[in-house]
Amino acid sequence: MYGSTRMTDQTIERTNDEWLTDLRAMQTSALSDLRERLQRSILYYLSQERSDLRDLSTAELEQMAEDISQDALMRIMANLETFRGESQFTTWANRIAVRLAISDLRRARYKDFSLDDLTADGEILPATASTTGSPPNPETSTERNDVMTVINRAFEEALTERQHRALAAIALQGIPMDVVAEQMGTNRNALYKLLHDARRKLRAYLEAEGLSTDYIMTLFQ
Amino acid sequence: MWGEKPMSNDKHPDPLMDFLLNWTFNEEVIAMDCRDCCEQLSDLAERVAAGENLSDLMPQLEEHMHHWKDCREEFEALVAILKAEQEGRLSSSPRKE
Repeated sequence: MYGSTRMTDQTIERTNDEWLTDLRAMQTSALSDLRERLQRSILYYLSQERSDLRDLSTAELEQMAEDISQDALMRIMANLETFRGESQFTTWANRIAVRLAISDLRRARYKDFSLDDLTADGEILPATASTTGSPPNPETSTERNDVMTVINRAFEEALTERQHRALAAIALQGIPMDVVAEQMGTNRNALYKLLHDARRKLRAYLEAEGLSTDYIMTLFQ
Repeated sequence: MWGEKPMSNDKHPDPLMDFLLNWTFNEEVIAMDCRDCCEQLSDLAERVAAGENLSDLMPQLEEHMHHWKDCREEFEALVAILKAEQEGRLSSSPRKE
């Protein structure tokens, strides 16, 4: 299935300027060459780099690669004028395609995920944090529980509803940012800022409660 | 005291503690937009695929990706594709009959 034939054997090699000229002119061979390159890249990624797709058949993977490549091609054409020539054109194009592929896969994987369900019962934080090493003695265990109580209170008192939800989903549950952003009606940039502010608030709250980083770190190691 | 603790590459096993204790307070690192610097990332991916280290090329971006797994996943995927391309491991034709 994956032979060693180089793509240069199949498609014309172009400089960045040639790609831009040919694509601006909507030259059929350039469009076809680019789509084929993207398709090969995405098929490689889906079939070789994604263990979660290993149950899919070759035909299914090929179809996915074809669909993603087609979407990517349209996006590339729509953004052609933003390419500044600082990398190979095909690398820039591959980046757009791979980002599209990953976004599609994330959406498919989390299609049943609901941020509302995650935060519905109000029990977001675990009662105790995971730690390494041997089980704690009773005193340490009590201390940890006390700190977790303060952290829980910090979540309730220091954070806004949106910060609470975003933090629970992304930092604690590992839900992809695109999925959370979509459900919160925002974007990745805004989520960066939201979580950064949330963390600053939490740490300020804990500091005001006399809980230092070193103390918490030592306690939960 | 809460200081500007340098980023630790050792993740805490608990995601909450990792978020609270290990994440950087450098807003520039946190808010760096991987999507807006697409072309710069493409150039960086080419150089990493050629064997250079991202930590040497752009340490702030590496730190950013340490925190944001979505960005890391997309960058690593591109590097993997570039490496495969360089090594001739891409399929010659995905729809070959």
